[in-house]
Amino acid sequence: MPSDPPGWRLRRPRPFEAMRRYHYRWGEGLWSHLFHRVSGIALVVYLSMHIWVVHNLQKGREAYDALMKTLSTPIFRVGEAFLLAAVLYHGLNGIRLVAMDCGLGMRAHRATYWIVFGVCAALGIAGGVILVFCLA
Amino acid sequence: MNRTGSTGWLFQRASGALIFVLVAVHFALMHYMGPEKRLYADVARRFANPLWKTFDIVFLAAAVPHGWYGVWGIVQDYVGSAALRAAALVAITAAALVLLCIGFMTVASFHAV
Repeated sequence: MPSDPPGWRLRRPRPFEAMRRYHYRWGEGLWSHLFHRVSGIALVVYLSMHIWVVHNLQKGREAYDALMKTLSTPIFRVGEAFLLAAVLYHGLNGIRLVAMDCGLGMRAHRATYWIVFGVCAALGIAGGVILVFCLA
Repeated sequence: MNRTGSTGWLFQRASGALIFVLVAVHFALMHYMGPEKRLYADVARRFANPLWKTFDIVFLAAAVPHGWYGVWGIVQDYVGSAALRAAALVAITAAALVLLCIGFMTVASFHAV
């Protein structure tokens, strides 16, 4: 076992030192991963609420339609636009990840990240505007 | 789950690809094809067709475990203590099972009134 170099002393790492110095490589790969996580958590929260809301079908026609009417008001339409953005990002980036797991587009991973980001932004904004302003 | 986690890894990819297709259909239909699509009458009309019931149950059976596995991965990344991990595993598994049961009952036991 190699001995420690002379003068070596253990010191307590500064806060976030590992993150800054070597653990994370800040760049497209990290943003892709972080946004995937955040959108995934948002979708899990949404899915839980969604399953609970649809469960109200058993309360019958009037109660369910009244609930759906509430959920079609403008504030929930804005929420739907964010839902669309999360679904688009998580889905498109997920396809990108599966493609890279199959060995496709490994070298182009930065370019494909920006393509995913661009398509997601374009479709998210267009679809969000339709949801909020055209489907009242 | 096998030792290396490759079963879970493969499940996450396969279910993700399936969900990608199902969510596209579901979102387009429920959010863009007219506000009446989510009202009781339209739900009842769709659920009269066993294919739509199958669609929703497959969607549920793919999406809930996909989310469960994703959250479990996040717990494994950020929670160091074995006790907290075990507690988190119990909690998210219970939540996933409850959601699966509620969702399945909603679809399977639906009868129009």
